[in-house]
Amino acid sequence: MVEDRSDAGSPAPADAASGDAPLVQGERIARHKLTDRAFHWLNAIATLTLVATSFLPIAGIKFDWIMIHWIAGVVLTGLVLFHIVRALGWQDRRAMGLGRADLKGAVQGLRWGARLSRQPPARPGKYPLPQKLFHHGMALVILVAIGTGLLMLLKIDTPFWGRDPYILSGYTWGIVYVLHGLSAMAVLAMVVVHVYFAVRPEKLWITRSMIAGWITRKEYEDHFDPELWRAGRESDGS
Amino acid sequence: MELFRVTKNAWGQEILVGISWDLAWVFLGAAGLFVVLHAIYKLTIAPDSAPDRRAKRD
Repeated sequence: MVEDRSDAGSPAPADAASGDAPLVQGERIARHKLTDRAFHWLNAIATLTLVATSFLPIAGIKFDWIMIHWIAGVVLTGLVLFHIVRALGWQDRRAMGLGRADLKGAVQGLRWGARLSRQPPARPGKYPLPQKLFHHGMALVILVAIGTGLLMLLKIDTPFWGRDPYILSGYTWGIVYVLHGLSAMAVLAMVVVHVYFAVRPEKLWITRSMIAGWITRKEYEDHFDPELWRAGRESDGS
Repeated sequence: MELFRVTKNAWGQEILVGISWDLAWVFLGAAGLFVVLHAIYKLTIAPDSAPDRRAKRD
C-alpha cells in the first residue's frame, strides 16, 4: 500500500512521484488504509461506550457503569496516542493543515451555498475544510476529556493503583469535573452531527470509504483536486 | 437552569462538583437543531451539489 501523504491545499501540492499519492487500484482509489479505518472504528466503539456509560445513567438507566467507563477511557487514550504518533511520523500533517486555500474555498463555498455566486467552490485536497474543522474540534474535546479523565482515574481503585482523592484540592477537582462534563457533552453533540452526515445520501460514498477503504476514480475526480491530492502511483508503500 | 452542580462540605462551604447534567440536553438539542436546519436547507435552498456542477470551476 502506498502511504497517503496527501496535501490538502495548504502549501505546495504533494508530488505523486514522492509517494504523496493515493493508491490507484484499477477504478478504485485507496482513501483510507486499513490501519486508519481500524483506528476510526475502534475509536468510535470506545467513544460510544464512553458516551453511553456517561449519559445513560443520567437519563435514568441505572447500571454499574464506572468500570466499563474507565476501561473504555484507557482504551481510547491508547488509540489516541497511537493516532498521534502515526499522524506525526507516518502521515502527511499537511493533509489536515489549514491554509489559505481552505479560507478561499470556504468563502467560495459560503457564497455558492447562499446562492450569491453561481460558481461552485474549487475542489479540495484529500480533506475538505468541514472535515478538517470537525477533526480538530473533536480532537480538542477528546483531548480535554482524556486529560481530565486520566486525572479522575486517580480517584478510583484500579488494578494499577489505589485511589488518592487528595492529589488535587477540592476546587481543582471541581474544575476537572466541569471540563470533563463539558467535553463529554460536546462529544455527544458532535457524534450526532457526525452520524447525520455519515448517513446523508450524498455522503454515503465517504462513509463507504471509511468501511471499505476506497473511492471510485469518478468520485476522486468529481470531489477532489488531483493537484492537491494526486492519484497516479501504484506501488506498495506501507 | 443551573450551570453547575455544587454541594457543601463539612464546613458548609460550597464545593463545585461538576457541570449541570441538564446541559447535556442543551447540547443534544443544539445538535438536533443543527441536523434539522441543515436537512431543511438541503431540501429547499441549497444549490445542486452534483459533481458535474462542482467541477465547472476547475
